Amino acid sequence: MTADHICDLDLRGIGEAIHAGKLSSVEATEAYLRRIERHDDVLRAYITVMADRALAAARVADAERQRGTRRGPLHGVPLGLKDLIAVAGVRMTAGSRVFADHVPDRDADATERLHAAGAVILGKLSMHEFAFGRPVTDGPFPTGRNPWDVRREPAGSSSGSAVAVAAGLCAGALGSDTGGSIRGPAARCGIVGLKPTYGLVSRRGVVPLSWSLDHVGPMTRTVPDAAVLLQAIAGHDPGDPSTHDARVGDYTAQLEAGVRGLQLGLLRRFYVDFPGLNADVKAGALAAVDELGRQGATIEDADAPSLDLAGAIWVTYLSEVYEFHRETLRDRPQDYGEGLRSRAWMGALVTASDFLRAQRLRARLRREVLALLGRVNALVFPGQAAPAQRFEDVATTSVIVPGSRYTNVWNLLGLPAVVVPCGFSREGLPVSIQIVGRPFDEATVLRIARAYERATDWHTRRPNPAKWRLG
Amino acid sequence: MSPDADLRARFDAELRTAGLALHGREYEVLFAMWVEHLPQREALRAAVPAPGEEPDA
Repeated sequence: MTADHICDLDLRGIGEAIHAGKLSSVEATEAYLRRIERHDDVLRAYITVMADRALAAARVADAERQRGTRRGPLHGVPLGLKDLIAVAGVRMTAGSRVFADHVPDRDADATERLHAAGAVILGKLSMHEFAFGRPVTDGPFPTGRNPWDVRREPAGSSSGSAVAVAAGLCAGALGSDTGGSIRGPAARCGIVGLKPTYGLVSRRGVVPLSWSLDHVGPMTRTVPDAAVLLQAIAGHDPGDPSTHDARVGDYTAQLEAGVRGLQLGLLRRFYVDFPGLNADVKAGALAAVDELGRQGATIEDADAPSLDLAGAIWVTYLSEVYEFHRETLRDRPQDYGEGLRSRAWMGALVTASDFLRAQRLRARLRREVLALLGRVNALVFPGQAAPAQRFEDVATTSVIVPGSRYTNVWNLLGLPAVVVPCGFSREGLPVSIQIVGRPFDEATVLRIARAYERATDWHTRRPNPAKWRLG
Repeated sequence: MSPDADLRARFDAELRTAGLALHGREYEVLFAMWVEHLPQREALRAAVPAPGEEPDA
């Protein structure tokens, strides 16, 4: 198996090849490390490559396999982590000068679980500053470049995670999602991104952005890969009280069960008919909904009037961001990029009564959407407003992220949401569909996503490494 | 007072209340964001919940 062939495999492919003895974990790790060395000067997916530690972990995984031990489908599989998820003894920057020298002394809960599952951590992946900054092309922590067009940004904030997975610089990755930071980059890089139910995956050891909105989740090439990765990281953690009621499902058992008999609600008014929706995204998403209908799902239009208030309710986010950063902003404002600094200050201007008004409306929105999900198994709609933008076209001083309406609602409600590739724009850029389900019903969300995925070949398309050049 | 002057007066008052003292580009960037965000805040304040609607847990 050549190095390029190895890096073209998906996560399960790597795990199965290792299990079958066709590939060692060391060979897989070396293949990714060579590819990172060859391409990451342009793609900028990694902030820290943990080559020595990764190879040591791979040797342990291979020795265990030779003794007949297989910890599971992630045994020996090389993965990347967004650089706000702690690995003990490894610098964790959160993409900011503020944390430039920060070295955590304990793994995040998700990291511990990946280690227990036998995974190999290849390194720490680039991200927007504190998951709230804007894309940057210079400075110590530049944003990754989109492998489908390196002149374009991959969206954020889990930009490096999406770039690394799409470009084959790791077999899978973890990102975090506060307003769309897993799903936005996944959609624009043509991969699968899953924001789990709030409280299913521990946030312990993850640098917070907004405590009530942060989620950790998988970013992978396929839906089954996301299921495998979620299975490894989900569960109650005494270190994160929000996981107290975590209900962990079996995410692979019903993955191939199809959608016949399922009821899906299409959020047409709020999403499909939104004037800001790109025509190619709209066409791809509606074709994907048609495909699910052909497979036997019942599709009906669905709506919740308070969706229109989601942007206003979003002030809770600004308040939480400011609260986390207020002392550092006061003492070391120069260590923040302008994009983050100004947006964090916006949180200082949110009054307590505005915050509570937003929380009251958030409860109303939750009631309306949960009532919808009492009638249908899941909601479907386009995964993004538009394909990837050129770096120079991204507004760097805007507090509202364009297109965030497609993602941030589902952080406010903490519901499981996955984006799946559903085609390409006329410019050759990935577009996606999004599926949202009931609390802790990731199994159904993934089952629907898989039903669509297996009827198409979008997930098998790869960006061309020959085009990963600047100038 | 012109519309811009009125907006700036409101913005300055909010900065003082928040204890922020910004100047130059920092001030202008935050002012532009604040203006951009005003419609959302007005929508929030206009959406009056019913007396029984409690905050999200």
